Amino acid sequence: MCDLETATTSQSGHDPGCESRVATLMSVHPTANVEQFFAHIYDENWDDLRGYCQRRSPSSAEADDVLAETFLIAWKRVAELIDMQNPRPWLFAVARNLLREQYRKIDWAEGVTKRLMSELLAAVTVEVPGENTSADDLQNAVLALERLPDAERELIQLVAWDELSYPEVGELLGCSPNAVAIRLHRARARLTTEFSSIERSQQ
Amino acid sequence: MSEEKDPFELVSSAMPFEPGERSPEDNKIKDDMLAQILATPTGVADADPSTGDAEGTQSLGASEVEHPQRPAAVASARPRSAMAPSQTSRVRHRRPIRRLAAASLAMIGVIIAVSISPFGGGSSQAEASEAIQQWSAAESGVVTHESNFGGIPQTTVFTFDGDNAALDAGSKEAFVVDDLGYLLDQNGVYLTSPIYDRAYVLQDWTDDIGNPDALQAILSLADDVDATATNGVASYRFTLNFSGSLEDNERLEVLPTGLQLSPASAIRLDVVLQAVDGVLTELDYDVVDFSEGAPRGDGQSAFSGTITYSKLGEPQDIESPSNTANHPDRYRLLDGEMKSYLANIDSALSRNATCAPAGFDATEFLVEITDERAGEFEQMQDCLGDADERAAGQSIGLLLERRESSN
Repeated sequence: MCDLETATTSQSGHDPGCESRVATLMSVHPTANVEQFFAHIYDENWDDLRGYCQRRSPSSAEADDVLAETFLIAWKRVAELIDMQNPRPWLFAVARNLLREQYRKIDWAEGVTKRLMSELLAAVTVEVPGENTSADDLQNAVLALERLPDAERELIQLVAWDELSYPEVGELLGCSPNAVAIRLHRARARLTTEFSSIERSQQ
Repeated sequence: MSEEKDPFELVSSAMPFEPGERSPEDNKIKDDMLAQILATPTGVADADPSTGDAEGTQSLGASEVEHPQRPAAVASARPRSAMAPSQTSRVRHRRPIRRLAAASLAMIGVIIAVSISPFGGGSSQAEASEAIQQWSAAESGVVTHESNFGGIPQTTVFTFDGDNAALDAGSKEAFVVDDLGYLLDQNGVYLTSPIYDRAYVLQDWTDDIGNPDALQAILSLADDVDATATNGVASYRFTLNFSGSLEDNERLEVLPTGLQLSPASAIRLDVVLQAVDGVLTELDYDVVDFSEGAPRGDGQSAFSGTITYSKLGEPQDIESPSNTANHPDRYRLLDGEMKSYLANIDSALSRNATCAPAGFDATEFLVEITDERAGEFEQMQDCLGDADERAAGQSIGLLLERRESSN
């Protein structure tokens, strides 16, 4: 069986013939089952995109506003989504640009800072016996992150917090996956250097 | 620092707002959001939101769905097809959040009280990129490269106007004028031919003067980018520092001509770009090569230079040289590999004329090879292979491989 639903679920596996026929169907009847297609994309990316927006917004409500606008834009451009091998980086790029606009607001960055602080505080409230890491280590790592140039800090956040793959980060930032790997390697090295420097200054 | 402490892992372990099980409230938000979105008409496109480009507004109505303009951010997307879930489904392999002692919580607050800007590639990098982009758009101008390597100064002047170009690199002079290539030989005669490789004749000073793509690549890898206005708003100066080895498949070709960064390089590169009204006018570079085997001077190899871009956009008067001669080897102005390939094919076809259509000329390999032509060439390859002309067959195969890799 080949229809939009099976083509966008695991039932179809890698049936290029099915994909092609569905593509043809959608080109002839572009609105047929588009809702299903979009809902699939929405389901696949909602959690991760929401996390991305939450980490860059001063409140949950404002994060959800950005998230909703991101998906609304995606919905308006659903014809292009169909063409994409992986729409995920594109969705992140849309959210990123929307958030960049928000960061021009006076209180936005400050609100994000407070919110991130609160979230990180909540993450370090219970000690695990035998755990080799201390809160001091985490605080030093975060301080080291803060010292990095903007581009390197964003790169680390995209990989460490948003868990984007190198190709996805590459599409998002407009560079090759290899360049991402190189830049991340360099960013990690600098992060380690800063981390060590902070540790030494505390001794 | 203890070796086991990896700050990247520490940062990763403290992911804020880590997705977990959705609460009923989250599920309601998600469902309501989807319902509201689907209630909105689709098929209307705004300016590409993934690039932040305010221009390029287009209509993407249902009737136009066959040829949507793909956003730049997904330029590598495959041709139209429905998306298979296996390509988007993600299996989450989160490291467990480390739960740490609350001892230094206040310190963390102090630390990140300084706002963590989540977006890199700030305005400095964007401005530099824009200036380079303007540079690559120039269709005419003069590029002067003054370099100093090991105390030996050298000056190269490259003049270009559309397809015509002149290169003066001291004893090495070359021209491309009206679809003819000219290369100065040791006897002071300009060898000329309509069969020429532009990059070979002009020593890589091709249309992309100084290779802005390579410069963009350097820029994307730069450790620091600073922009400072030096002459009011009309003048900018960008500083880039690039250091470290390049890794697999990351080969930045010529920047500028003569300066190659290869995967084996360990180079510190300082570049200063001077732009006026957003257009690049000068590039100064200093290179220190730490690579193993690099020529040593005070423990390392260092060279520097200045490239000046002038008269950009102005018509240039480029005349073909006098004192010209045709070389007996009609492939003389091709690079070594291509010359060998075509010579092999010519030689084999002279013995096996039936392997090619009447009037076939090996220079047909120099123009863009269509799928149809590729099929014909494969037949030719088979025919020459059957005739035990292995070198020619291999040459055709390699030429077709080149075509494949460039597609």
